[in-house]
Amino acid sequence: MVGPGPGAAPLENANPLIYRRSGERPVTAREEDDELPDAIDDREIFDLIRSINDPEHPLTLEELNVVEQVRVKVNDAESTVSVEFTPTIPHCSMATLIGLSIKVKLLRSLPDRFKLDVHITPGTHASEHAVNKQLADKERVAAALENSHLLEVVNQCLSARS
Amino acid sequence: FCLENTDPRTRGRGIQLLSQVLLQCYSLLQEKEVLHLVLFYESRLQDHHLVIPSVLQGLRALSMCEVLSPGLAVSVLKAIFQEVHVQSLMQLDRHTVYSIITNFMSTREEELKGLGADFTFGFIQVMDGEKDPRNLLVAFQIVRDLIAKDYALGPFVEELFEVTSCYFPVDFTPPPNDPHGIQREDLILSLRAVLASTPQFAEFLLPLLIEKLDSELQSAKLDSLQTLTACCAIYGQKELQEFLPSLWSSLRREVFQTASEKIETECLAALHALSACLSRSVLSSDSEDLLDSFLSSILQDCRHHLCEPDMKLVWPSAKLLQAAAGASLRTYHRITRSVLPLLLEQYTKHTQSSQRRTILEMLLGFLELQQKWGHVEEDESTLLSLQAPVCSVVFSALTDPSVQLQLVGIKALTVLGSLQGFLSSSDLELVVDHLIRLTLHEEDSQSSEAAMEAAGSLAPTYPKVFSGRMVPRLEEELQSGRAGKGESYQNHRSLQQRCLQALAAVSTHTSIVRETVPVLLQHLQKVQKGTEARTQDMVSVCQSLHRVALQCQQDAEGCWYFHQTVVPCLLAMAVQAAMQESTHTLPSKALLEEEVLAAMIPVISAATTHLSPELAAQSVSHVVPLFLDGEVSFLPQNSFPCSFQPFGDGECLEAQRRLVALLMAFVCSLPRDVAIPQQEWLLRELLALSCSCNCPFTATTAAKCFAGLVNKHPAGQQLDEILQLAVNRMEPSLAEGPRRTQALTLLLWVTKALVLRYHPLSSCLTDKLLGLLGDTELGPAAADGFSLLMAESPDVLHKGCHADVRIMFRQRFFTDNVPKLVQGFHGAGPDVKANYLKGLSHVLNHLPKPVLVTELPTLLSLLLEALSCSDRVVQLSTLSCLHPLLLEAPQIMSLHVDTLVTKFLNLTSSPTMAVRIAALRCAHALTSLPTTVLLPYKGRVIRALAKPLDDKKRLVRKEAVAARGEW
Repeated sequence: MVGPGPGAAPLENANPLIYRRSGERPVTAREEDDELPDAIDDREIFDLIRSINDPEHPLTLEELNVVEQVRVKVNDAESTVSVEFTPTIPHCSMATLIGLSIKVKLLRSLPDRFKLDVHITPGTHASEHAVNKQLADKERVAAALENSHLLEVVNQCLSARS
Repeated sequence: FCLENTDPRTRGRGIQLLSQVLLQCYSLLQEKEVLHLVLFYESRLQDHHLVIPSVLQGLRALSMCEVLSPGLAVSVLKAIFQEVHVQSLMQLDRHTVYSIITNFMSTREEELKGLGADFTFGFIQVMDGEKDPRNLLVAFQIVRDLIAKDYALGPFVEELFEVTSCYFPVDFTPPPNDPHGIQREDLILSLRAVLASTPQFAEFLLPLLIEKLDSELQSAKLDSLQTLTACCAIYGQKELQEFLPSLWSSLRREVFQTASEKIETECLAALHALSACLSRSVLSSDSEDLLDSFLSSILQDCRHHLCEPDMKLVWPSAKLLQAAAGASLRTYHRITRSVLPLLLEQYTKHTQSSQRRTILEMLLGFLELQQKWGHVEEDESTLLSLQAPVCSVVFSALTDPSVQLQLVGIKALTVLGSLQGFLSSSDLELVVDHLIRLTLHEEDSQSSEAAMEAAGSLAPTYPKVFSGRMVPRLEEELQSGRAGKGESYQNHRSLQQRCLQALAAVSTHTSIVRETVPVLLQHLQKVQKGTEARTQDMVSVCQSLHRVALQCQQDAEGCWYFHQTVVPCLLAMAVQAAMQESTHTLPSKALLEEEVLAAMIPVISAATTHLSPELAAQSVSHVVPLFLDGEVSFLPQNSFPCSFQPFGDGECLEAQRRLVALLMAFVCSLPRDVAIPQQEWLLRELLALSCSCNCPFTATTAAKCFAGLVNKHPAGQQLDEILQLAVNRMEPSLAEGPRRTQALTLLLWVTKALVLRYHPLSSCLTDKLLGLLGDTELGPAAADGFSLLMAESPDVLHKGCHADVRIMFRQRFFTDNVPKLVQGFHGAGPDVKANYLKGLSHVLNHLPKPVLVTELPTLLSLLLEALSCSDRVVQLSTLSCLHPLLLEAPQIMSLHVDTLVTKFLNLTSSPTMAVRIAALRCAHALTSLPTTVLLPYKGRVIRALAKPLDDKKRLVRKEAVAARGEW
């Protein structure tokens, strides 16, 4: 499930559409209050994944509209998170890598109690089913993360922009 | 005789001795002797290789002789070029050769030039293959001189280029512990100076640069771009002509595809330099217009991207065009002629506000470039011919519902306004109307603030329009009656707020200040007289006045006007309110509430600090008698029912005493050389008030005022007397009695005043303060007092109000007192230990970070102990001390990694949110320690950080995510 490393081949989509980034979430008075609990909501999950870098562009997934806030669903009480992502083009070879990056980021950033579900927005990718199956398979995800080269690529996507 | 010994070693030693002697005494030699020695040394050059180093030393000594006869320099160099294979010598000896050449070049320039190209060739052979960075720096300098001083290069241009350019791009990492301190940057700069020193290198250099630009290596790209930019400063179009297409295509590719902002910036700078270079040579030659074709190719490649405001390439294209357009007036016209109409057309074609915003932002970029050329020229400017459509586009953006678009529109408006002669008077009126509408009626606060900013920055250019049109409108709104209750009442209040802010924002020109200040004062009076005088309203008026005061500080006339108008008026209103209260004992007037008085302090202070000494003296002669003698004659409407005696005794004078705050604002802000009449009397009164008053506000203010005056008081007997008096008053009250807190406040402020000016008494007072830390009752307050001592106070005793503040007083306080604090901590009982830690952490918190990092290792164990202290203020400030230390001194911190990890992880479950956040930040900062130190803890930390991921507070979770992700 490894895509070509960055810079190896000419870009598949050299001039993609760019979407505006949403600003930082403003801190509300409620959040400053020590007493009141804040539930984990869609926006919070979205904030976690929106700054992930695209493997081939110096842009974030949010700017490329790969992830959108409306496609993030959270149920704090039942501890489930569901994220749909949309590859920029239907035959994008990076889809698996993007999905894996999202999954890893959420695994690292959410409490254990959450059950994660990361999949492609229906009807937006040629081999949607295959990719979804790979992402849902816990063993394959774990095995992929054993691969040090792949882990490095994922970490690069997750690293903060310099 | 040594020099003729058959053993080369002995001969070498002999020559070495001679050379050493010569190095010491070369300046004493006679011409004849020099001649003799030179001939001797030249012959020695053919000697055994062991002897050569000493021979070169000797020649170096001789090369520094002033009496060297003509022709000898040339013959020495010839001999060296012929006999010595320089690159097989040691580094030091090669360096000697370079020194000889440098010496000759600086003293015998004419003779060397007589050698013609042979000299250049000889030098090329000498430096060919040089590897040592120290020698390279010298060699590069020699090449630069060769070129700059116009030595004959002859047929050796290419060789000279080859011998230097082989080092490009410089790839050198200084060895650790390098004693010579040569950085990569030094070599890069010195090589660049060589390469960019002459147009003769162009035909070789440009292909090299293009090649390196096309490579994969980031540093090579950067270096090439910077070198290209440097070259453009001296090249003409002749040199560039052949390479323009490939240069452009490389630059375009980099800007379109790069991920690094740095490369993009350098590309744009290079393009800017190229265009500037071309436009320069156009002026001097009438051959084919290269600039035009170059710009055409840029336009051709970029223009169509501007039509797709959603696509990725739109911004790189716009930036390229702007970089080229910024190069000269000529390029600007050429590019805007084509781009501006296109952008205007695109704006009307696209209707989505996000697309329009992108287009308008690009347009704004081009307009800002026009600013660079100053005025709009009548005949040539494309901008002027597009005046109407540009205005209509900007105005349409201002009326768009999207806030983002409005903001860009407002920025564009500011730029248009700053272009002299661009806006017609009818347009200008329209602009002002738009600004008024946005300021008052736009719901989004961002837009209305931006509109106020814009009004403020345009007002000095068009004062008439603003004072004639905007100020009356605002005044009208401000005075309009109150409309109903409930929601509309809320609206009315926010509208009034906006009016006040806008009045302040627009007061950026003296003539406007004269209009707005009376309006603001009138409004303040109206609010005060109103039946339900509201504190908040008065505070906002004062804030507006403060802003105006800051804006007219730089302008002497405006400043004096403001001072003369506002200060008496505020004093009069306050005095009147205080009188009413003391006579009728009415419920407390809003004007005298602490908040309002606190808001007036910055107004008076800002109006006073920038006065000239003469005017300040004039003013002080009114204000001080007002407080001491009740002399009210200078106040407007000065018919008061009773006398004003703030320092008098009596229960009913409480309200009058509070006005000491206003006195403080005034006298503590005066320039230091203004004499205060009856200062001794004033000081005694203040001292008495601060010790005896029951109201904490009044007592604190009086203490501050006293401290402010003491700080500026010239040293001498008088000062010592007054200080002695203060100490005598403080001591008994500190020891016992009902007014211990007041006495502590006074002690703190006086100590601060003296610490700031390094007064000798300060150490005695600080010791007193340290002693109080052990007091169970006053200890915590005294500990907090350390933060007061170290922090910048907002109203008195800072640089802005001319206080005597020595540099580094914090460092000095630190070195003097921290050992005592530590000692006190160890000797203290368990119930007061926390006070010492708190005091310590306050001191550390205010210390500049670089000092902190060098000093902290000694205190580290104490700080670690402080982490286990249960006081959360101490925890918090300790964490904030440790945070920079983790980032900047990882080596020292790694010794304590075990304790740190444990403590931080414990604190992540603290009941206080702020502590949890700080602890997580520190845990995050731990990752900057060396990996080998951290590895054993990785699993434990990651497991422990899983818990705060589920924290109930979002802000805590955010930090936890960041920290855990990093681990």
